[in-house]
Amino acid sequence: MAANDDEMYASASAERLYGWWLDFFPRLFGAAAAAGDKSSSAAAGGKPSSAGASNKPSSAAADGEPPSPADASAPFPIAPMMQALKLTQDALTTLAGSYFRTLMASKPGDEVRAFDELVHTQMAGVADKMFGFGQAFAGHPDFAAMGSTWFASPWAAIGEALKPLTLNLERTYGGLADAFGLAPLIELDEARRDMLLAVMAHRRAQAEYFDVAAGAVSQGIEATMSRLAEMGARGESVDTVLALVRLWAKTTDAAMHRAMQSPRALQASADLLRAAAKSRQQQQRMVEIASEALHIPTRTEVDEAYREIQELKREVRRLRKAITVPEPATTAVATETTSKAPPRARRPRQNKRTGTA
Amino acid sequence: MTTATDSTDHPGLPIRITPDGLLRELQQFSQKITRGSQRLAALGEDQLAIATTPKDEIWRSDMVRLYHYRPTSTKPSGVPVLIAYALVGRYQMIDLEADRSFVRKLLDQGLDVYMVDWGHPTRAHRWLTIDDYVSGYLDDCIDVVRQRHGLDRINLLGICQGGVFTTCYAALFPHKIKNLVLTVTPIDFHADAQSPEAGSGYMNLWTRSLTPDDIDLLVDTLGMAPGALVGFAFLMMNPVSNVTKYTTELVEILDDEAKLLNFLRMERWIADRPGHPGEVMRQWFKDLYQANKLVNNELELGGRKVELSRITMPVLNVYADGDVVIPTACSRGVGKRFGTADYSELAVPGGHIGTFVGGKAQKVLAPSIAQWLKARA
Repeated sequence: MAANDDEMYASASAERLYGWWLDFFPRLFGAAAAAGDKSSSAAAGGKPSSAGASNKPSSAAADGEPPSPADASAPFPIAPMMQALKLTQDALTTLAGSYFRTLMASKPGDEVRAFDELVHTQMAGVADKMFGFGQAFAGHPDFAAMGSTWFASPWAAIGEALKPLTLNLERTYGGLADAFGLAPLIELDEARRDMLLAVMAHRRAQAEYFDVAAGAVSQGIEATMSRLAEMGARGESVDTVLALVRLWAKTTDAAMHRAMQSPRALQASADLLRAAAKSRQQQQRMVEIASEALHIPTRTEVDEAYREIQELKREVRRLRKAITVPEPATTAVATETTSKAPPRARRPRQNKRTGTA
Repeated sequence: MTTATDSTDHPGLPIRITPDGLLRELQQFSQKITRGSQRLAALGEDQLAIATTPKDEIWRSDMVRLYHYRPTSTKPSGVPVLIAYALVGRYQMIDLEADRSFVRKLLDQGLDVYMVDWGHPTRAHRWLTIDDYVSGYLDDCIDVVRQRHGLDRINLLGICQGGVFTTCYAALFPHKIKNLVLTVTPIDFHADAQSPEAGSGYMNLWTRSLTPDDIDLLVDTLGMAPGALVGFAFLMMNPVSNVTKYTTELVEILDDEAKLLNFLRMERWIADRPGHPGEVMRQWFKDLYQANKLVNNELELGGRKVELSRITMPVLNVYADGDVVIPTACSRGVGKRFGTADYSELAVPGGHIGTFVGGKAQKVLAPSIAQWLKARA
């Protein structure tokens, strides 16, 4: 049934996106909460469920436990929305708890400033970490010596184990290694090195992009502060946490628009896309080599088959149009037309796991 | 300025959140979430269904389907209108809910409405080009409708990317189109550079920051652009609001069933992002966003030039005055490019999607289009 296909695609397509997005929220507000208590578990783990509980103001905790995730059979999008509510409750409770303590102990403005500082520090920390990761690898192109996690993969492990043998074969018999079907191991090894270099470049590009994003968030907070100052000058005030969150969202969105459209951000985005594509290309190369060695049709071969099918379809279409020049019917609107319609092409049966035909 | 506590004073930060107020707010918030969660858990498929206007599938090829909506008037308009939506989302957006369905409103205006559903292309469709969509699927659909109604020419309505497809179609097959309606459609992809609009046109800027080789690399590597990637690009246009809408904004509407259902149905539509065939993406980014070939009559489809001067039928061009996805400069003021002497423009209130689902826009859009088409029946 076509409708089921659609639902399956919709669900699969949405799942990762919602996952990423919903995860972003507690991380961000976990950081906010930590501004009031940097030693809190929210800052350390960014997991609002536990952190939220520990930071709840005493009387607020009494009402309404976080909702349970919806039953798996609930219609889409109930489950992700339930998850969002739970995260909201946890995160805002954490935020409010932190704010509550600040209210009792210090100046409210300090909280906002601490938030700014913390977000910037955290984002910059992520960027530094990623950059450091890339740098560390950049200095050591021979990853075998570093015990890289890539070696956890069976292919790499096999390649490593057989390396002396293939090297000796290569030295002794040259092209004979190919004849024994051992050449792919050498090729795989080379491909793996190229892939790791591409992954490093990808990480560096991500670090640069994160840095731009951190700057944008920081600008958003500065804009929030300015907006608050303007409101103060007009005699207006923010009386609830929700109003404060809304104000922050609105000003930060505008600031992010500006920041992400700057030449530096656009360059960082282009660099990231380029690096990500090259990294993926190298991964695909490894899979191609392995597939070929095992006589499994490669992605390139399958794509070529699809290309030929597409060209044949075009040819069929041209021929069909040439012989059945569409004649407008002379009768009134038909009530049943399926039989009059152009030939119906059958959709290939799809693999539900991969989404491919 | 008095602040949260009596003991503090911050002239620059007018935050008056008191400890008591904070506790009260949190308590109310928790209660609201608990009630809302129960409400969410009680919702079923029937309440969340979208695109419920009765229709019949009358043709299909590969993943593409052609639907005919059952007319609501006893004698619908003689010349039917075929709607083509974009590939980046599903057609259900214009029939999201019964009371804010663009399709229903067109039907209620007495139009006979058909819809192309481009479906969900898979890896098997990575080689599909814009020409395959325009001269292939769309042409087949138009022939089916012409045949059903015994007409040489029918009305064609395109939305966003679908508007570009219908523009190309009208230029390549002008003898089959009676009237052309474009909605939120980019024609001059570089017009935003001359008339920048704050907060809009990120896609234009981003695409132009890439080289043609980058696009080739992206397409060759991905084959198909996954739906989630397309969805992410849209999310990043309002990154923070798209976080808070699932959190604080969602909580705000939990007690309002109508608003909650609106929200959930919209989420269903947003989540349903089809993948984008790589070759279409290559042409879309390189030929249109980067090289701006459409407005300059340089776009080639299947070896034929798309010459806008061949669009001699009446054209109605509708744009949204708050569109941040397609800057209005890219849509409006293109009448002189077409070959028709009957060119009209209509600005509707709202954004790119709000044009079709927003309350204000709904009062204007369908009645204006219907009136314009009837005057040219």
